[in-house]
Amino acid sequence: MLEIVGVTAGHGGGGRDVTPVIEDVTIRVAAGEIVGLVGESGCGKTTLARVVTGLHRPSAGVVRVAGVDVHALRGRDLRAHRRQIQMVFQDPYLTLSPRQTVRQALAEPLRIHRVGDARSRSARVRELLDLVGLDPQVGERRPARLSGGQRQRVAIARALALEPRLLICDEPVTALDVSVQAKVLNLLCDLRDRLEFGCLFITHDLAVVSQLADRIAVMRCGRIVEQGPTRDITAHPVHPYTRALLAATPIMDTGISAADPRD
Amino acid sequence: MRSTGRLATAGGYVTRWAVDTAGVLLAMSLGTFALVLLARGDPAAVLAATRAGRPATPEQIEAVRVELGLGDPAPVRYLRWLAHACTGDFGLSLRTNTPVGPEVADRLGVTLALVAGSTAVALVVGVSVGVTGAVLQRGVLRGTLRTAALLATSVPAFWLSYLMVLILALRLRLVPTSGMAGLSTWVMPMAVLGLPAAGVLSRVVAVTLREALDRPYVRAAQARGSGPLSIVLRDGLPNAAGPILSVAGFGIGSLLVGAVVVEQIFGWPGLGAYFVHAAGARDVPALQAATLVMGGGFILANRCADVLQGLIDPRSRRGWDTRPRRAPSGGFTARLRRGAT
Amino acid sequence: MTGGPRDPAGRVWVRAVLVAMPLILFAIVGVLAPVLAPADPTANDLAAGLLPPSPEHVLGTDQLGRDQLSRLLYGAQISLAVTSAVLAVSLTAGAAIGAVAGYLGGWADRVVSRVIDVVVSLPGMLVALAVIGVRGPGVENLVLALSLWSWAPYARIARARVAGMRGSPHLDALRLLGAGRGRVIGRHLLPPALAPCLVYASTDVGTIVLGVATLSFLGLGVAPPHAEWGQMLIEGRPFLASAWWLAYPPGIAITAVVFASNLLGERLAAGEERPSVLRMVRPGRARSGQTPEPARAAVTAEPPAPIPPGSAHGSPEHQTVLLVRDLSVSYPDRGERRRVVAGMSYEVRPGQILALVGETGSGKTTAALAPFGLLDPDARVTGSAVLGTGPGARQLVGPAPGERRQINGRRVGVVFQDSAAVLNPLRTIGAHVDEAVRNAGRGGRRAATRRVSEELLRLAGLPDPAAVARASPHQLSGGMRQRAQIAMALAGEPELLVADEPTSALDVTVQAQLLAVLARLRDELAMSMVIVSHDLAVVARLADSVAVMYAGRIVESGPLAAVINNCDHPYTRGLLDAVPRPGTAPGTRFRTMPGQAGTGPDDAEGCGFAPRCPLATAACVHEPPALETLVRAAHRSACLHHPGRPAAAGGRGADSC
Repeated sequence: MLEIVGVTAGHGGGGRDVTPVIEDVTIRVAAGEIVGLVGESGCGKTTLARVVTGLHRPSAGVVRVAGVDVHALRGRDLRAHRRQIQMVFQDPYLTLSPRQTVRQALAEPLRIHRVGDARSRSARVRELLDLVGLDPQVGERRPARLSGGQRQRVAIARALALEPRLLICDEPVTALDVSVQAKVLNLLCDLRDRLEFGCLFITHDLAVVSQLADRIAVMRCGRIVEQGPTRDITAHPVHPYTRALLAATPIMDTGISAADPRD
Repeated sequence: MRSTGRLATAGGYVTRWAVDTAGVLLAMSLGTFALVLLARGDPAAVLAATRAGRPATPEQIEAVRVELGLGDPAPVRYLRWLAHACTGDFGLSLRTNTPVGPEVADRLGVTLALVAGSTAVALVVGVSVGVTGAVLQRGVLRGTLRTAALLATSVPAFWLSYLMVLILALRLRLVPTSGMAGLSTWVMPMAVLGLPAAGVLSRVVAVTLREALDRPYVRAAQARGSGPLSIVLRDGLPNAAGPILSVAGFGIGSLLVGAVVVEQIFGWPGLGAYFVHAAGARDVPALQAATLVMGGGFILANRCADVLQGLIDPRSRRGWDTRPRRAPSGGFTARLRRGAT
Repeated sequence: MTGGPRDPAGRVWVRAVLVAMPLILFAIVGVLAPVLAPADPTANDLAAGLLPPSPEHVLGTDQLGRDQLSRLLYGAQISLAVTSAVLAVSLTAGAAIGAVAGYLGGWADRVVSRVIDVVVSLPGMLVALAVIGVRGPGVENLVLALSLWSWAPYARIARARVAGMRGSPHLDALRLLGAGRGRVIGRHLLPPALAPCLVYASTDVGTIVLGVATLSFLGLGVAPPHAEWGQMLIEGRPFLASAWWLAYPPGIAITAVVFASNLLGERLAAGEERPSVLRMVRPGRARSGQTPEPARAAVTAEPPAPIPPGSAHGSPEHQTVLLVRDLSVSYPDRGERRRVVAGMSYEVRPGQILALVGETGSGKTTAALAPFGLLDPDARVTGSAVLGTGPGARQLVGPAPGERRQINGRRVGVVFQDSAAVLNPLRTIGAHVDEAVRNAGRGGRRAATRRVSEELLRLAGLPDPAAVARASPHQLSGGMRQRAQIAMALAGEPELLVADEPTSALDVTVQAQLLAVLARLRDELAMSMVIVSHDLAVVARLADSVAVMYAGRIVESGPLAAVINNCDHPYTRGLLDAVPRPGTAPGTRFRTMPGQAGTGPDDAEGCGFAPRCPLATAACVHEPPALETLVRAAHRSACLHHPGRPAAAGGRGADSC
């Protein structure tokens, strides 16, 4: 579904990047697969997300979504192709317009791509609200009157409105309380099972992806240092950085809770 | 750590500031020169008529035109005008046929004295009223001060001077109605010019000081056991200084402009009155000189406030915050990074 | 939580209309002047010159016998016409130029920004005077002279707004959805950019009206015989002493319009910046408009509870560093007081770390800071909190400010959450720590104080304290700033360290180091701590005992191992279930709690968690359950059902934990 091959990108003008932020990154995401990308702040995770979604042009390498090079497209083709890739951001409050109600926000992508008429769009909006487990009456509210978890659900629903085949999630649960985070993660798993989209899940939290992702890629200073199935990474990390990250990640089941039957 | 030494950066900041200011002044001089292009009528004809004492002949006009170099292309004239202006030579007044420069220099002293006096009024009244407003929580006094300040900024200077003349000069006979002789004649002009500026300043002081005192670092200082006086002096006022300075700079600049009205009303022989005469008579060289000097003073006052603000608060220096943020350089990550490279 | 700003917004509008009354009158009178005016404003009648107000001439006549009231009304007309024209030109041109520059970015933006900078820094009235000086008076020249500089602020405001949004995720999201340029600018950029422009315009009306009047007063604006307010004043000047009616009405008219415009602008601007929702959500955060001085941080009107005698001389295991009993905190909310923390009791023992755990809005930060007078001044704290035992014991609820300063910074150190905000940006780290050292009474001469400061910074795990001391807060990383806060908190060699979310928003590796620093302080210096955290995994690494908070109350507390391994309260159970556990199969679903977090301790009559609780019965909704001791001493839970107690719930609780 998604192929990132040898991508290098950074800040600076034109093709010659002064400071590469990510270097030679290669990741593949299959349909229906969640791949976790883990790294600390400033390691280039977000730049990679922007490259994958086509918001940022790489200086080397290719990004293919469903076999099509994202950066080779222009104008109308690009906008049409964008239906395939959608993104969920860390702070939904910043990505939702404060002036639009939830209903309007969800109808926005449909209107942009001129999907259906007013009636079918409104039906689709109801369907989307239901899909992410929101009450229909939430549709009349504006983002300021939603809780953090509800906002993130709206953001996910909007990203899924055009039935993308690839979902990029950039720290989608970082700002949420654990109990809300658990619900949003469950929702993502359910939706992935139902809709079979591929998902690149970007986070700083190794614990979160280790329960969520099928595969994990660990990123440091713009490079992928280790990549593999989740169990291999968490149980037998090879790279010292992965080990350091694992050791630093607070994990409930270690240490004191020796009596826990799940250990 | 993201920067080396405060001084080096501050030096660079001042240099950048100076270049910037020079640019703004240059742009203003260009605009001032462009007034000629906007002017209706032919300056040469006016000057020739002034010299002749009656409507001039075409030959006389042509002679003046050659003398003033009006036939040259505009850029050449601009550069010549600018070069002369830098030496204090602004050409001849169209109405009196006398050099403008010395006249402007003479009158500048009067205006500067007026501005200095009213600046003192504005600072003393504005800051004290503002600090009182910031420290008071609620109550009648706070509301009264706030309304008074807003009212002071809303009253037109010319009407305020009418009121003062009516009450102080005509009814109570405390001060003369106009003129510039003796201390008593200074009271009304300085009050008329200084009080509105004080109103603006007090609002800004009240709001910014209040805001600074509501910041989390004030609570942190309480947690360290710091006393109220220390908090106002160390955490409150320095953090409020930026906006206060920039408004003060702007206010002093505005006083220069306000002087135009006040000098006119109270009959002071200052630059402002000269400006109004020149504008009424469409005396272009005089207008240009007055605009350049007063506008330059306004801009300098503003820019000085900016540079002071930048020196107090390193974050407000332009360009500082736009630098890309590096990753946290705390021990572990840094060590890993050093190990990698 | 999402408290509706709806009705306050309505009231704000009513007030705004009241404030704007003179402006509205100005507009109506300006439009209807020909209808309202009793006479021709330019008709001379020398026989009726300088008549005082009378039924025939309500505001008297001027030296040429013209009706003053009519002239006043027509003055509004001209003033309004010029103001509208200038506003229309500068608002349209300014907003368009600014928005386009902000959206395009790059060199176009740089050029436009420079031009705006220059124009804004020019003295507007001077420009107007100069332009009229060369062009001559008249309405068209007046509009030109005023528009020439008044567009720039609008351009600056619109540019800043649009440029700010250009790089925002909001626009990225729209681009990803495939939105075109026109849609983005028209529907998503211009409306939010126009709003602050309109707010500015409300002040600008006053500026322009004043400008027109001033220019006319100087004889450079509207030419006679047309009536204009400034013009009327200058014409009446020779007759000031005898004909007072010439001096007052025009001046009052100008002042009223300008005053209303200023007031309206100030109100609208304040309304825009007021973070009302934020305040509702986090009552513990700083509020604007309140003094933070400790002198006014009135705590409680009720007499503080006496120090419980039993706590004074106990055996070592009964010694407490902090003993809190029945602590409640309330804030004023629309005329009444609303509790955010209710009936909290907890204690901290020497050399132990107590963790207050809870989700957003559970009141954990409020509960931790309340004993030390660090809440907003309008917070009311009741109950008892005793620091230390024996002769040094101090009641913390309700002491005088001076006494407070003997405790804060000396016997208690505090580390706050947002290290970027709690450090004064203008002072170096060294100045902060020096102050803390001096407040603690350990300061000496400057160099000696600094030596102590550097020692403290080293103790907090900063390897190069001298360099850190010279740095400004914004030059340090979040982890380093947090260490600096720890150094300050340690200045008084306190018995108790209170840390509010000390590691949130930090990278895990940095977080691990900070937790290690805190653990070392406990192990090596036997320092007691209260740690506030939302992260159970972090707490599990550090704490000796835990108090779980929900909606302003403690629902379960006890030794760490007991709470984690044999939890009793269904909410604790739910929190533990929500923590990700590596080792589980990828895609394993979390067990989740239905519903949304409760907000306050008094919102529900019975157990606050009952609406979300799988075990809730009719009994649960009647009164809040008390904290009851479970099998092991010190492990207490506030649930009627006690699913964790083996006898009560069979096997369910014990093996599910």
